[in-house]
Amino acid sequence: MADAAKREYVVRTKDLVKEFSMGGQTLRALKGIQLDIYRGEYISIMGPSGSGKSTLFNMVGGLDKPTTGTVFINDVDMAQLDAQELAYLRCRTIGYIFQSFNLIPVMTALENVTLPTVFAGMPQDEGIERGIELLKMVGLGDRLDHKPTELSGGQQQRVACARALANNPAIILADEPTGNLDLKTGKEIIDLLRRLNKEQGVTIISATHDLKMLDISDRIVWIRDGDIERIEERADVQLKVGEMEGEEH
Amino acid sequence: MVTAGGIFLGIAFLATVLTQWLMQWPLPTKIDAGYVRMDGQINGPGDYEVFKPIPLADGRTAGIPEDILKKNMLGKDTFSLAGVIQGKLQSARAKKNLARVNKEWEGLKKYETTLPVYVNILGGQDIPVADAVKAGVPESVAKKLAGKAKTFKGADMVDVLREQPKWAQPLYLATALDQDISIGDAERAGIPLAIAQHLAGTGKAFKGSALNDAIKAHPTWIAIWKARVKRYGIYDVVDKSSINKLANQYAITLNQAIAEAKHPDKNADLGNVMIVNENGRKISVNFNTNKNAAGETRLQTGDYVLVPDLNAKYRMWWLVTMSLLVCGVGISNSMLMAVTERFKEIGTMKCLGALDSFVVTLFMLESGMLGICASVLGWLLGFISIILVAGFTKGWDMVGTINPLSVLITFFICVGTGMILTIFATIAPALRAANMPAAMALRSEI
Repeated sequence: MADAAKREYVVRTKDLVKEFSMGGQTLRALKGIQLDIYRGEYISIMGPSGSGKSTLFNMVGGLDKPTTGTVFINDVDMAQLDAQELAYLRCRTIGYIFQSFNLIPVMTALENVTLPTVFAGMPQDEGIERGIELLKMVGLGDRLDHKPTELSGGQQQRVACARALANNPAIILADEPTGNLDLKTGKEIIDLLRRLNKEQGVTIISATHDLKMLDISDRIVWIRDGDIERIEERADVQLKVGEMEGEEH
Repeated sequence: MVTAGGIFLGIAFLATVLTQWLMQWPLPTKIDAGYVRMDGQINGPGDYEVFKPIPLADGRTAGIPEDILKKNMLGKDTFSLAGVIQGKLQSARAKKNLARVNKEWEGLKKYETTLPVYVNILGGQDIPVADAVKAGVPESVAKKLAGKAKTFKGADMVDVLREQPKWAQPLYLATALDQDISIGDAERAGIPLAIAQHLAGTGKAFKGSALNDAIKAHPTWIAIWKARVKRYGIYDVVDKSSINKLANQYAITLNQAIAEAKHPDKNADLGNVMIVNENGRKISVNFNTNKNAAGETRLQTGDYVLVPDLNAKYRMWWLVTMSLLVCGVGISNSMLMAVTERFKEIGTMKCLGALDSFVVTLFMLESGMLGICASVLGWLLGFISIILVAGFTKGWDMVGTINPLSVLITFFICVGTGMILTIFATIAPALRAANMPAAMALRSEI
């Protein structure tokens, strides 16, 4: 347990403020956030709409820059990065999983998964090898040449997970990954994410409403009105989740 | 939608340019020997003589008889060579026609006295028996109808003829009964085909009475052509080589022709004057680059000189510019729509690590390829339509004279312009795509 104190931070924020100007008025979406995320943890960000949840998510995910305050991703100050460096960060350090899967419709599953490796400058053969390996890992080894339209929602999300891992990122950013999936398929994705978190040691930051996801998170960040209301450890969470499983075949 | 814009571009551009190109070489309608025709910005009554007035002395030296020179005098001591040429043509024509009408008479003359009898029968007149017999009616039949008299009634003969007696020839029968004589029947009866066709006009048959009138008029025609042969026969003495020598020496220049016709107004495009001839001659003359050389171009008999309108040229360029603008806007708009619709895709790409320049390149390439396909397709469609229009309005042999090289040039111009336009029209949408933030990938609507 001595290691616990020495755990590395993969994301740190300090006095994080984000303001939007709408018309003549300024809207303070984030009012000075302090949040540290450990390497290898599974953290969920929760909050009602308008709470700043999405804004915070964008900040720690390298999708937006703060107005004042700092965000360190892998010890790199986000605000100092120019467009090229930001692209590099997104390419190598962060993998993204979206609610609507966001696969390129004209490319096959394999091509979708190898796309990040292309941006990272990996040689084509290596990239294809890695893609096949990843698709096998998520259980889609036999669907390499299928286009997204030929895959089910759950399968598409699994391809997206494989894609997110293409360049061995330190962080996976998951925005409502189970939002467009039914209960059973959602559960499969959750299991996959948990497996990835445990086996690969990749940090997962997710924004979600899905209570089943909360169940596997290491920590839960509750945010309201631009401030962090509380951060719960999993052990502290008392959840009464009604069992409503689909039929298992 | 980029394709639609490109096609539109292709057709509009090509239609205007190719029309200009192809319609440059109009085939002249028949121009009389010794004359030229001016058209376009140069108006004038009919055709102009292609030779200057030639001094009588030169005419004599060339061996043209005095009386011919006198007949074609143009002033105190000059004569018209065109008149001499026309005279020779008329002589040949008269000879040919005289031979024709004589030959026709061979077929017609046997009906000269006989056919009128049947016309009279039709008319219900009293027919002398003797005439009837000469016209092929058996004596017995005629005498029976006449009884004691020397004539019988035409109407009675009509009744007889209605029975179609064997002795009645088809031609006579049809005439008396006022029936149609077909061209075929006429031919079989020995009537010359040309006369039968002329009598039938647009139809396929004619009446015997019409034939009778034609036969009556025929000797007059023979007399007319005989007279013409006599009149123009004097030109037979003049030989072609002396005419040609004089023609070469005294052919007018373009300037002189333009001067004789009404002057062109300031809208005339003197940079694109065209001279076309039925014998295949095609010359393009540009007064703007070299006024003297242009003006001194010698004309030949049968030349058709076209001076186009500057307004037409301006109109063409205006049309081209407008269509380019419209297409540019269309292409830009549809590319912008494409960018806006694909906000998630672009955002995702950026999350995966794409640089802004990559996104720009992506859209430029996409629209570039669409631009090429659309331009080629547009060129093809425009080309086919132009061929069809030219073929139906100016004739298909006109279409055969198109220069493949100029077709190739228009192809490259068209596709090139399409490409450049597409590139320029796509710059703004592509930049818009590049500026899209990565967070767009998360949004569910724009």
